[in-house]
Amino acid sequence: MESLNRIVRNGLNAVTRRPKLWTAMYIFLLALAAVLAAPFTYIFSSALQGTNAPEILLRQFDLPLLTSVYRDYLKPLQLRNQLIGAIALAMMINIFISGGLIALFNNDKPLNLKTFLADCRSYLGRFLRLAVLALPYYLTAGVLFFLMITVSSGFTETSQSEFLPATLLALELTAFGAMLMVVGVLFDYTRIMVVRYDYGRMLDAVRRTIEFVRQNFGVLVMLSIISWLIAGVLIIGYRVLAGIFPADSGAHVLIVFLLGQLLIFVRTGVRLVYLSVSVEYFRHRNTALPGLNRDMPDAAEKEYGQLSGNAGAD
Amino acid sequence: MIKSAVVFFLLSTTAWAGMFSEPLSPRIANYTMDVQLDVNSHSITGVEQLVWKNTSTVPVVELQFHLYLNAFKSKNTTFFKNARSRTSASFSDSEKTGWIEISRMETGDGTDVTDRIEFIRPDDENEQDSTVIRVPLDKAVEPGGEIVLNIEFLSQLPRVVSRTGYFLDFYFAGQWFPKIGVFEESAGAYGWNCHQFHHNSEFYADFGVYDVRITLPENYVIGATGQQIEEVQNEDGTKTVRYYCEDVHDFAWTADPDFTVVEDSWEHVSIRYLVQPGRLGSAQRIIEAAKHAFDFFADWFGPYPYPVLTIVDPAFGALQSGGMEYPTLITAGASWLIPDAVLMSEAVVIHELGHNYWYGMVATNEFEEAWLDEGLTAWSEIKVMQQYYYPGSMLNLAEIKINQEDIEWSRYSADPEKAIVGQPAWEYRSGGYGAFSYSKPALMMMSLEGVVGEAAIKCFISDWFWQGKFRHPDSEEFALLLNHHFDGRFDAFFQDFLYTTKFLDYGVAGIQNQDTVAVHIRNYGSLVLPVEIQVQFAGGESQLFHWSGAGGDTLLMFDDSLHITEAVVDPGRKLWLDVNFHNNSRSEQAAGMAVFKYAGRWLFWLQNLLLALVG
Repeated sequence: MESLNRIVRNGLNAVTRRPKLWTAMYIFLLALAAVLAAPFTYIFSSALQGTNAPEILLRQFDLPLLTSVYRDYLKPLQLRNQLIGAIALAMMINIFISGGLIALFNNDKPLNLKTFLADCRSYLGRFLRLAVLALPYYLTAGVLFFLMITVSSGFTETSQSEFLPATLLALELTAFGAMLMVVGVLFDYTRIMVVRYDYGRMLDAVRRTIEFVRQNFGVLVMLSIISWLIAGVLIIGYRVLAGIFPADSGAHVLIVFLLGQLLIFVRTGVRLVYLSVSVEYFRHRNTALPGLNRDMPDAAEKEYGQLSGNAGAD
Repeated sequence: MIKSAVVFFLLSTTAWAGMFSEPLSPRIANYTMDVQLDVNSHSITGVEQLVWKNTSTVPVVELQFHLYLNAFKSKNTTFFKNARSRTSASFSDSEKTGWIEISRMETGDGTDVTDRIEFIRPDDENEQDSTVIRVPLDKAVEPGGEIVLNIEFLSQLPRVVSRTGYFLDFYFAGQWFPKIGVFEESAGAYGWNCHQFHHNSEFYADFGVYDVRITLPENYVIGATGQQIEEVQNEDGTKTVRYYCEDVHDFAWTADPDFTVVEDSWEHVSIRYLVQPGRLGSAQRIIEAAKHAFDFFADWFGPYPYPVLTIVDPAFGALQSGGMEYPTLITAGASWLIPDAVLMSEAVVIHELGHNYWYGMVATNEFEEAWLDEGLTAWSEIKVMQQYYYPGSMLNLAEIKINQEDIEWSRYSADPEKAIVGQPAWEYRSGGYGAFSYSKPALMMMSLEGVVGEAAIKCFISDWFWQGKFRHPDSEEFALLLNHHFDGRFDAFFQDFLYTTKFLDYGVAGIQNQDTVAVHIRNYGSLVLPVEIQVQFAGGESQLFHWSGAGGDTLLMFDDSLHITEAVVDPGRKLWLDVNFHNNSRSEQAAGMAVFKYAGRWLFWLQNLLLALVG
């Protein structure tokens, strides 16, 4: 447990030592979101311009007015498609910048844009292949979820109260979320492994990482859950704080916006800490992968020592 | 024959003293029934004595009956042909089918008329549909005369589908017995109004007295139309419960061993809430909503004369029986999964209780003019929700407040030319039943109220209730009353509303401050109602104008020294029939903070999404 604390502390330090990285990441995501939001903002602004709708909409949520605006102006935008596009784009960007970020934490180097982009490019092909390899895993999770729903509907069909169906659905959603999380963890660590060993055989990397995940399952899942829990708590905290300021005046709108950005900034840090802790943890545990420790930096070896046990040793 | 005679002799000897000192209705169709529920076969066997009066001016030579349950006999009935793809009911399993069979029918003088029963299809040519029968009589029922019919029947309940059936131990018996149609004058001639059971359509029947004995296992908790006046424990582990109700036009009942009974009262009305296990927490919300509705309806429409109201909470797997109205008995839709911020349960109770006025007492034809019950009830529901749950009368989640009228408006304005209001329910072939039977009429009433004011609309609707109660008024009568109350001002509007797809869309086409100072107002639709226009000038002065809406557009001219900063048509949002509120104003004010508010949120959630996927 002591070494795990140290790993987390080191991971945390790796981010706090790099405020530029943190800030750059926040600005990058902000810019990306702003680009994605631009069509909506422009058209919404055009729609409201020259009417009394701004006054009404600033004061209150007005479904008929918003619906009218949506039908007149925003429907052609196809916001749902935009959202799907944003998700696809975010996934591509994730694949691209992961290499740079992991290499940064792995090599413990200061942030340098040129090196960062070079690393991003260097791993892009391999990470794309990993993304393709991940698809069957996600698909399997989806199929299992569908099967669970199908099987449980047999029980719930004859349920006299909503308790059983609601409980089963909650369990199924939890199980589905857990499956997605495990697959996510698996491919997070596969990417880390690929960077750490500059590994080129993706199928083998996945196979080896499965073994790594199996040996360290408890800790890896716990770390992932903690990162999601922190995000959840932050969002709830934001909702509570934002609720104090009903966005019915310019000042309140500004306060709520700033609170939101503060949340995003902190969440960005949490994501980076999760990644750096993961890299640190892998560095700490990689002796569990025989034959692949040739690149292990001496510094890490000295700090954590040669640990051959599994995650339970903590 | 002998069996029936004995039963009805017994029934008649124990007649109930009565619910009302004077009849409230013409009591045309009066039923005395003795039925047994078989929980193994989910069927009801029974004998029914119908005393039917001919209140017309012509002799009646045949009778027509609804056999509603036969709608669920096969997938080829008119009901299911209408409903294809709109229901989850499947007929691959024989347990799910429902039907009704008349084993014997005889007149009061003992003449067996069973063999004369003939299935007819007054609305279509569907030979597979057996929801209406005709029975020719040897001897006509003369005007002012009456006929007694003794009917033995077997009703097989389906797995709950479209308001009726069983689910595990839960039973809801709606449209479950042979029910006579309405003999009435239409287009100058008398005839039977007895439509087939269609997917969209509901029901239509004459008022009468119902005296019903139901025998069922003794562990079942039962609720039904009217008052329970007797309960007898039988030696075979069953009990016989007798329900009695006067001046109603339908009888439904429910039974479930798992019901918990929550009792309360409002003025002279005993409220019984039959609630499923685990949902007792909903009782306070449900009963409070019912009391609010009673308060409002008594004030706005008139008294609820019955001494009882039963609210039924259907089992989870029987939700298709939820949200339905019967005289003095309604089904709700509670669930512990519904959070307090969502007021759906309240809305359903208020709506169904509203039907006890618009359908229950003012018994319009739900088959042919669904708007008169659904539309007026939807409007009544909005009014109650506005009074007791505003703002956020449908959803009250932080600053997101959505009201019932918002929902109705969204539904109607999505496609205001899709259908017309004044058509039989089954004619909504390409959809639109909800938007044009519920939403548009409710918005019409709100718009009328916006023009004439609350006091005037209250006076009108109260009159509609008092004139229409315990009768079958129709749209024509509604129009006449409207003209009477408002000197014919809304005649053209009402005809357009009812029989055309015309819609109303007022907007400010432009404001002009150079050369001439003017506001151009236009109706982008062609439905016309008077409207207010507010014009604001630089310096803060504001003027309110009224425009009849005639002519399609109007130009308001002002002195050249003035500068218009804003013009708003219908500034108080009184005309809820307006299908677009975005074009209702022109203003010089900047969009600024409002755009920042909504765009900022869109940006925020996109950032969250990106964060979940990137890094």
